[in-house]
Amino acid sequence: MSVMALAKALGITLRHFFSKPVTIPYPDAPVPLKPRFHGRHVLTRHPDTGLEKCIGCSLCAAACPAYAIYVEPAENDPENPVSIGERYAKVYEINMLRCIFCGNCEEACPTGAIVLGYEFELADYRYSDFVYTKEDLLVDTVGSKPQRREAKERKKPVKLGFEVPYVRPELEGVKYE
Amino acid sequence: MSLLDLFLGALLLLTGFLAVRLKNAVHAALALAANFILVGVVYMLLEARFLGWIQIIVYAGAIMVLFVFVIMLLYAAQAEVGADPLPGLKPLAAAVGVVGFLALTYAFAGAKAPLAAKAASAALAGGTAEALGPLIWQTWLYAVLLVAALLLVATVAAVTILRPGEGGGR
Amino acid sequence: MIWALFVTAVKALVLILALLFAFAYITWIMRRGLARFQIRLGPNRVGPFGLLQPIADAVKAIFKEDITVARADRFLYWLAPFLAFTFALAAFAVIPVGPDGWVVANIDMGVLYVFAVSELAIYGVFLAGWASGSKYPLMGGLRSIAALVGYELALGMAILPVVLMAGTLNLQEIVEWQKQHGYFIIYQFPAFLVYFIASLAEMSRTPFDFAEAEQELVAGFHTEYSSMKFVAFYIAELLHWIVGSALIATLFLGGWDAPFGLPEIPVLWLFVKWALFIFLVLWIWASWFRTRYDQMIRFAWGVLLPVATVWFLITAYYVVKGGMA
Repeated sequence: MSVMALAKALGITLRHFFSKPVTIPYPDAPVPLKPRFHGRHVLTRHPDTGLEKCIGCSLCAAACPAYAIYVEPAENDPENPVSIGERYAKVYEINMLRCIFCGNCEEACPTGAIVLGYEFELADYRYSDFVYTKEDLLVDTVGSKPQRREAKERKKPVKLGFEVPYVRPELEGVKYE
Repeated sequence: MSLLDLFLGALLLLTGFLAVRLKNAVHAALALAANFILVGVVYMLLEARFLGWIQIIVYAGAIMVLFVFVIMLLYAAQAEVGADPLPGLKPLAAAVGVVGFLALTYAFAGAKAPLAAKAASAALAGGTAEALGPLIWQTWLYAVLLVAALLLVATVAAVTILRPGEGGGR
Repeated sequence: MIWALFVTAVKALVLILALLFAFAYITWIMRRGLARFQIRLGPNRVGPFGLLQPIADAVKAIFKEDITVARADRFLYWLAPFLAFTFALAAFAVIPVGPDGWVVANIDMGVLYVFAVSELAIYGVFLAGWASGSKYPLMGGLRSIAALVGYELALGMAILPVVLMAGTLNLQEIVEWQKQHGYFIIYQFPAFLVYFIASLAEMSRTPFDFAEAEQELVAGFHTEYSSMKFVAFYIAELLHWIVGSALIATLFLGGWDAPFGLPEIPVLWLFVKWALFIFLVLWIWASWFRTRYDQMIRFAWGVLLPVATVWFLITAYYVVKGGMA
């Protein structure tokens, strides 16, 4: 172990000492995410009609390797359709603790309804709170369940702790991310 | 014989006794180390200050550390259980001890009183390194060199005997 | 007589409090400093710049459960952290922080006192290893003894030329000598190098932190300790760092003396030089890796000790020839 090598090691660390740390001071600063980040799922709507894209076909549930998705379809009422097909998902639940965020559901979906968004602040306290229903997943909902709960308690809007350079086009209608 | 001297003497006896009688070898070695530290303290009280520090550094700090190191290395803390190989020796040892104690008492009873420690120590001039230096390196130089040679011979012999391979008998 | 004792007691108390405070904020310096060397922030949540982090750590440690392992040798298990902590604290008593009376104990043979205390501190380490009754601490303890004793020898050999040139074992007089003639780092640079390297080993700091080689020994000799007993070891370890740096500053860099004729303020200059060595040891800790154990022992006995001995002989020759004796 030569003295030159030891001195060079000291030089490297000294240079580090005077450079700016690379730590991102989350939560004081937002975390920069990449556009294809696998975060919380979003059930999108059609931009022109406002109807849900999900037709309750359960392909996502079939594709999910962790059996995290539960779908119960129901017939669309012709006067007040919920989705654009014959059926819609009456019950749509994803167990966030079982989900492995692989994106198979997004790839399997024929209408592009279920898409993986960017939210990662999903930590909560009780197991039962981790089963997200359709209301929790729809595109109109901003923030995860614990974030919305705390925002309601504190009477402040939900603050999302990340930023992305652009929102990928599959996430239709997602604005604040 | 001040109270401090009596107290130190009692502690010395206690630690010496513990060093011999404790069953756990590590505890006994620690009692011995405490004994050495107390001897160092006694030296310092007798104005042989350099010798006192050296006693603590060398005896309690180096020799006893290595002693305990060997005990730990060989897991030799618990004595081995077995028959006493020399059963007739204990009463003989006790008898010799009693006779020796009586002899020493007789010798000290008849001796004239020694110089008070302070007066004798004044000759040591505080026992500092400056006072001891000329004594060791000028007056008693050959004795010191002889002891050093003896230690060297012992070290080389120990290393040679324990060297693995074609070295001397193991 | 009683008054002198009282003054010494007060000085000692102030010193102990100062050292414990220094220990607490050395942990802050260590965590923030190491973080900056690794291009990251250190703790910055508890108080501004994380300055209250040591207090949070102390509170956490106090409330931890104090476990005594079943196979522990109870007396030694309790005694070892006490020994380690006490002797680490005691070593600072002879270091002068200012001229004349600014020292807790101006012992005639201050250098010998420092040795004695360093060697007695070794007891705490290996007794902890033994008393834990399990193999990782035992290995850590045994490794410590062999290495610490070896480097202690090199340390002693490196101090001898300094003592020769200064003509005294008293630390205050060594500082006074340096004030008059110049710092020993100039006259005794090889001794300084040997002393610094051996000091790194005595402090159990990288590249010689064999005793707690985490990749090999879990946590070394203090694996089986928790809560306050562990805190005692941790304090002892960081105090070795603190006291070792202060010693190098005193022996080779002039102690409390103000360099280049700047105004003399009692505690300040020693603090500056001490801080320099604290930084240096931290820098080395962040940059270098651990030596292999056998390489380390061979280095102590095969390189440091011969170099120190040869330098001592050279110095002795010059001291006698130059008539400084």
